Amino acid sequence: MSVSNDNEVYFRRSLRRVFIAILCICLFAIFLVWRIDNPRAERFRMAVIDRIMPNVEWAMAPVTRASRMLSDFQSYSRIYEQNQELRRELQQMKAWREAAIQLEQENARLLDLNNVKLNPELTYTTGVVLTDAGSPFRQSSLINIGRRDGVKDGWAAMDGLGLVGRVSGVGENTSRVLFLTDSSSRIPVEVAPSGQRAILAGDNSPLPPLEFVDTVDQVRAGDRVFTTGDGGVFPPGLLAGTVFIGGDGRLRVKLSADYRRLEFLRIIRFRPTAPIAEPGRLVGPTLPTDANQ
Amino acid sequence: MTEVNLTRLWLARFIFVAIGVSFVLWQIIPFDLTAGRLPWPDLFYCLTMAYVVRRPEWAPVWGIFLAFFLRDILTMAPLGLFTLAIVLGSEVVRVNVQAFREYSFALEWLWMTAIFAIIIVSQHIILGLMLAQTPRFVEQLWLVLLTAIAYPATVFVLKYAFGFSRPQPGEYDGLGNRI
Repeated sequence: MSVSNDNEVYFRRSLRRVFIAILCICLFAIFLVWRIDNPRAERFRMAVIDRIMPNVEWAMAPVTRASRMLSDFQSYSRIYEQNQELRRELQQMKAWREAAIQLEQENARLLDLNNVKLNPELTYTTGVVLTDAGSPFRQSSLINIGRRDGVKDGWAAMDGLGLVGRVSGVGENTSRVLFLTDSSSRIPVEVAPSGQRAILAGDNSPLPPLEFVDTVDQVRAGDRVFTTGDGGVFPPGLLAGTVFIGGDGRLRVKLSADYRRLEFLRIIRFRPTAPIAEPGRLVGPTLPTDANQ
Repeated sequence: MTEVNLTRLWLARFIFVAIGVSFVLWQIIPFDLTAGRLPWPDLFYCLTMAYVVRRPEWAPVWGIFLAFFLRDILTMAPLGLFTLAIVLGSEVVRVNVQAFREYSFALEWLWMTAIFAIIIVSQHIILGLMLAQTPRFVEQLWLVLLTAIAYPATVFVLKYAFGFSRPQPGEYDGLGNRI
């Protein structure tokens, strides 16, 4: 009795060992596939997330809401100072608003005089932030609009004020926005008054550095950073942030978007203008070709 | 052998996986999306290891696989790498579970921290060798430190709120075998 029992225990133990070995080999194979055929693996991941997220949204929404309320509640303790601060800012803003209205009117008049056509295709669609990446591997988040709503890879995402990132990975009902702070994000930008071109390169820190600046001397702290249309990915002229000189003397960008309280994201619909592929031709009647001679 | 309550056993396993999934969902709630903030301690790792030492039959290897693989998918981590590490790590503990039960708690704590540090460092090295993107090493060090601090807290909660104590010799485990 005891011998057969021992045999059985031994058998089960070796069966288990084989199972664990197979599991480990499968996991390592999955990791290798992820590394070798990354786009396909990421598409698989996006498809899985697309299936899961709409089903658990109802469970997460109250928790998200409650935690936001809690963090808002914490700020009640400073409500008096905040109120004073807001009043002062409002006063300043009123002055700016007056100036902006005057400038807008002047601008409209001038545009009208010159008969300028602005790009009418720059419309946007808005999505709600569902999740955070939750790990230090990626700075990104999931939003609740996807292919169904016409979202395409590469479109720019903004909060009310500044650029947040770009769409990278679209599912049927959800899509992923890769932030400017992610270490694989590279955006061509222009620094405002001096017109210097540069690349805004994310490095997983809250203040991404500016790289490949034409003339570093002409860039000052506080200059505004906009996207350029270079590469045909982003529409030109979206505000990204202001220049900031880091402790190590590198030029960095203080992003205008408030990443601490991202709740809604604007996805900018953008179709780049048709590229001019060939040089201009002679206008006139078609000439007889050489074959007819 | 005593009679095994199968319903109870499977319920306990199901609860383990459910707790794991809820931890993952908690992790991806968008609280603060700024880069470079302090990472949360890996509470699910602490929970898994505490389970494996105290009630290994309630944290089966397939449950660990399911929950951690889901986490890899949802948190944009490299697919399967952390899951592989945790399956191997938990097996090492499971095979030597008698030794772990006889250790003092301080020694158990030290071991769990060491295993987590080995997992994180080897993950960093493997990703580096594969020329994949690695997170910043400073953040990973913070993760190890915070997880090390969180382990005793997890064990404390499990022990005093849910009655998980280390099985004493002579007790029966969930599968009905004498320890």
